[in-house]
Amino acid sequence: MLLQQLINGVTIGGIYAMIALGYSMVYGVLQIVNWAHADVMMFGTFIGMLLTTQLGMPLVAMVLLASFFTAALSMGIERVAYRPIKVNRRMAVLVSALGISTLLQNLAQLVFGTGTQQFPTLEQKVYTYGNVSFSNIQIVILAITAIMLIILYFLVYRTKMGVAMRAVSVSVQNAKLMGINTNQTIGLTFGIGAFLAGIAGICVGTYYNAVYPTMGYLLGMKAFASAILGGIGSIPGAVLGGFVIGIIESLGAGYISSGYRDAYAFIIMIIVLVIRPSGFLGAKRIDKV
Amino acid sequence: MKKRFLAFVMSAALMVSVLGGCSNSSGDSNTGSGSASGGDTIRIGTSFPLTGTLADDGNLLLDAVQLAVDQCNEAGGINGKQVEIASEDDESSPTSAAAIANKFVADDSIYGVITSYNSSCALAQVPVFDKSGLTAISPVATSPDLTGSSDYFFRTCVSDAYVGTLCANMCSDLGYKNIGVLYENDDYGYGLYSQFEEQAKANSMEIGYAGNFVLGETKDFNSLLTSVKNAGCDAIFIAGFNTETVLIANQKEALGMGDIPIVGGDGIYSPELISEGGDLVEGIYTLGAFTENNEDEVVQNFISAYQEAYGSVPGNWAALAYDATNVLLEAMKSCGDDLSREKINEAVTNIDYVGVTGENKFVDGDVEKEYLTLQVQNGEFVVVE
Repeated sequence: MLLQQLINGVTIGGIYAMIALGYSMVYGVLQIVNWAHADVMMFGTFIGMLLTTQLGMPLVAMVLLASFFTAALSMGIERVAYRPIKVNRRMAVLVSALGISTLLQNLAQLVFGTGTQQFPTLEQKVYTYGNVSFSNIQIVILAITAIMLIILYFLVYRTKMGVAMRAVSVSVQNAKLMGINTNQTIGLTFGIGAFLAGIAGICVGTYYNAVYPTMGYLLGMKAFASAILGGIGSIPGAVLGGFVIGIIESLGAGYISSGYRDAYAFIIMIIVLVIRPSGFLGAKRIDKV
Repeated sequence: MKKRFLAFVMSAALMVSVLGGCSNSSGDSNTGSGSASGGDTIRIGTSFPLTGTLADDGNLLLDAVQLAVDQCNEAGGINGKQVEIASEDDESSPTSAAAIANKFVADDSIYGVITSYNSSCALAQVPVFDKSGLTAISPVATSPDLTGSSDYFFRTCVSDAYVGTLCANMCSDLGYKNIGVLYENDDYGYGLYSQFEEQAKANSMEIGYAGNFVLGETKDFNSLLTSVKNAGCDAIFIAGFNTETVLIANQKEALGMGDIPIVGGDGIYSPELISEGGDLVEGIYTLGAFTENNEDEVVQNFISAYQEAYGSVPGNWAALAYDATNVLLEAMKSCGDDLSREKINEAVTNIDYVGVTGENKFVDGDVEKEYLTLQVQNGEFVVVE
């Protein structure tokens, strides 16, 4: 029972982690919360679903194409809805993000319909050992999460682009003075975050075999909670936060009461923030508001 | 200075828009009461979830109401007057539903209401209708709390008190001894679950595990299903709707619980269960008042008319909504020229109308109909004995 709940928790935790990275990275460079992030993910998932069901595209090509679409969409939104608003007016960007989020959700309901649609990608195979069962889909999700995190690590800590991203997150002004193309770097940050979210969305769609226009809302809230819990702006923090929230949620639903499963994540987040306001791995910095 | 000017302009604009709003709304209510006294249309209010998770079902119900109204209008309307639908979207939210009820009772041109998919919405609306004497008929709100709640509230579906009992009997007929219950954490799910539990105890069955979930929000049932598995249950009873049932069926497979069957109330008996679930929902048991396999002429006429209008086969709920609308229309017809809300209520109270889902005759606002045991076989609901 414990092991089974842990497996369930780690699977969903990996998905939260991948989405949380997008929130955290964007916060890192711009100090804004990109509320449209989860809805961009939803859009990408629908595109993936259509590529599979309408065009019968093979799995790997579908995942890549849908994720690149998600990245392009997010970069486009940054270009059209965030960049023209001055970066130092964070509140205005935040409101713009909320508007985009509402727009995407309603657009999806209009284009794809309001119902839940199936997302048949992998044929489910179940492996049972004693009391514990897991499926090939869970294994694939965990493997993809691990691979994406390793790639991201190299991208951020071992490439020139990563250095630029980290420089922008310290100070946009100073990065500009050092000759970094900050606009391009910010755009790329949005793109990479959304690419991860696109993959996470396809994982969720496959895991539950369901895609629906409001799927971004709760996933986004939990992923955002994960990012906060881990320390927003911190990449390892977002990953840690995602897994912690996934596992706590599964254990809470299994051992305490399933009715409050969505509340556990937020209760833990509040407790951690009271004790350690910057999250598990967040840098302590003084924000001038 | 510039700022002060801007503030002045904006407050002036605000004043104008507020005043404009006032004069508009008073104009509306004038025309409203005018058409009620001397006009030639009768309006029926509908309150269904047209957006959000339950939008599919809400629109399905509205389609069925529309069909009944169109047929009535084609046949000459109600004593020469045409019927018109005033449709509102309650978003499955009791708050919106109560606001809609208030809007309907204040509008003199509305003579009756077909309302609410969710029991929680109906429960929020009943006091409003009760106070102002407007008759409301619900096709699908099944909470036992609605029984005898008001002289002005009726329903063409049976109460969960009856469905829960029927489901428990069905489980015991199928030979299940230890049931794992997954219920929706609201009036509907809890109502169904508590009646199921009562009858299950009477049938000396055991409830090994009971866990709840939130409609439209819970997508991960792995924790609940793991608990069901751990309790050694031999069947799962779902007190919820079709969307969640598909998710549960899918996740159940992944946990290696493929051999544990699912039994659901009439909430899952909808064409979407099969169109969304496909192979996953094969073998699921449910029950309902209406099936397209019924050879009865009235039923077949309804099916062909519905197919002609919307291109699909109507389900249980469409049929119940069609009956609810026809009950209201028949009651209006029997009032003659002297149409009033009070008269319509009297007519509905005493009606005995045989529709496509059986006999509609109200006791404390409730009907008791025969329900059929159904199983999904090869992508179709098949009647099993």
